[in-house]
Amino acid sequence: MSDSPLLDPDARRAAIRRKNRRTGLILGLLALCFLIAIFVERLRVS
Amino acid sequence: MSTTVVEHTAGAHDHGHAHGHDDHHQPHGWRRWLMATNHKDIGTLYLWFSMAMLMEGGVLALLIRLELFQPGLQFMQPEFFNQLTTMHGLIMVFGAIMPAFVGFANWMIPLQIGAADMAFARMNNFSFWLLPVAAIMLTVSFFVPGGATAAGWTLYAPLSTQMGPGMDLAIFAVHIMGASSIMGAINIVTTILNMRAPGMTMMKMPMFCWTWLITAYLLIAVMPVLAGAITMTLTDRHFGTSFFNAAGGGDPVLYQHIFWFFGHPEVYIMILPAFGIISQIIPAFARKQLFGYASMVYATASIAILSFVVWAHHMFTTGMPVTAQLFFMYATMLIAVPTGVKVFNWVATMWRGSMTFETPMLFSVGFLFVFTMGGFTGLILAVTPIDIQMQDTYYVVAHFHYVLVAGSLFALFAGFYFWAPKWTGFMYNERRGKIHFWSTLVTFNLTFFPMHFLGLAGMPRRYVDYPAQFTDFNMFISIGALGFGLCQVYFLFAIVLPCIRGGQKADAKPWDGAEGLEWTVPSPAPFHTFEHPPMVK
Repeated sequence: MSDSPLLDPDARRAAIRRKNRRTGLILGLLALCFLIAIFVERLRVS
Repeated sequence: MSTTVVEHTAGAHDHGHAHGHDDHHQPHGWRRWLMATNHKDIGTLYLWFSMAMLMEGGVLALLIRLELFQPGLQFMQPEFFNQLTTMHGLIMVFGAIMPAFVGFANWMIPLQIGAADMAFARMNNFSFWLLPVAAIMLTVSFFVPGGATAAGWTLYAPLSTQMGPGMDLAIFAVHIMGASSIMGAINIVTTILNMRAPGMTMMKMPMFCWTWLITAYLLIAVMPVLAGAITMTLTDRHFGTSFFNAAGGGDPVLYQHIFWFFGHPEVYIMILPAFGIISQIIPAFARKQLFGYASMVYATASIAILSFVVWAHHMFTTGMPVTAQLFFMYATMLIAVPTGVKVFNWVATMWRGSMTFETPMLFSVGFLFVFTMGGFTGLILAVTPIDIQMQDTYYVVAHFHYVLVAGSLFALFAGFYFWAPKWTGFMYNERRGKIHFWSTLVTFNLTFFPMHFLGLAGMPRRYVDYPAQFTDFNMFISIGALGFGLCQVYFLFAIVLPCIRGGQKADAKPWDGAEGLEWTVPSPAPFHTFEHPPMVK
């Protein structure tokens, strides 16, 4: 997004919001994966 | 670092009419803080919260030192002493140091990358307001039957599976603080990846943003691991599971593995942003570009990656195969390489620079000397046979206080003095700043340096009593600790509060060697900044 100065401000803001939602979702799922992984690993060991 | 050539196009930050415009849209009264979505307000909330927690954790530390002033039981029973050491650790780690860096991130990252705000402004508000809830739970736990948790900040099983309701409160508090940290980290990563000003490529970002980006990834990776470990502890306590209960087929040592898989990266979570702050300040006061910007980025990433493969160096005495001991010993020593790169680069930045020693630079140079000492004792503790001797002695206490106080806290002080003019619009009192630095440096060393000798002589940590031959050093340490505490009260009342109330007006760029977008906006930074992104060339 940092290299898209040609977009008009409103379009740029909307594009950033969409991209933020996507990135946030991916990172949230990543955190969830780590949480699940630690339980799966522990249950596998036991 | 990188870039500061900025083209002020399309009202890059709208200061001309910013104040008048802001005044109409700035919420007032308690709503401003409770419903805050502005990154600067939330940053301020984080910083005040961490200051309050620093004071609370400091009072607990002074109670510990009061009891240890003389051998024998003076003022408290061993159970309460153990509660004090536990809560001191939890409050300082999760309440003071981590939120303080998140406060800096909230204030500075959008300003440094030319973004109008953080990516998820309402989640940012939620992240913050979870913290006071957790802090209240931790504090209240002192007053429940059995008192607060006394299992140590690591909450090791089987102690943690046996304690009273104070342990449950601690588990819930750590859950809440963990959730807050994960949300904060997601916010920071998203902001940095998606909201940089046009032209600001990754390798043009200020080092503070780089270190926080890497730290935020660490948080996302390890906070869920901690949440998993303490959830298992909770189910062991109340729902009949035996994750860590040997009698039920579980393994208490496994808790240690899981905890330290979180715990060691956590150490870097508390120090990498400090590296970022120091990397901003030294070039500003040496009036030179940061030496080896790219190598600083790669060194930070290397430290973060290595932090995942060294956790068992906290557990050498639990018993493990020699191969594992060798692996964790060498992997730990390897961290000295990227850390050495950073220290070399900071010194090389100062080399032949036009240096001046205002308070931010004093704290940065102090950080370099004293943090490096903590790094060296860490290297010594990495050696397995030495660690087995030193495990759970005051040598370890000295080591991690040199890293976390002289490292993290000194960097936070340096960052405050560096950016406070931008936050408040006023210069702090330079003379008082210097008094704060020198008195803090001296009392810090009076407090923590003798702990090395106590540890080498065999004094164990987390004990309420000690043999009479350790009395002199302990008295000395307690006096130093009282002095160190008073220095921070001086910081709050003689420096922070006056700097907020008024004084000499700060220029937009009060430090002539400073670079970065944050210095292109007026001081104090207007409520709204960079509504139209600046062009970075």
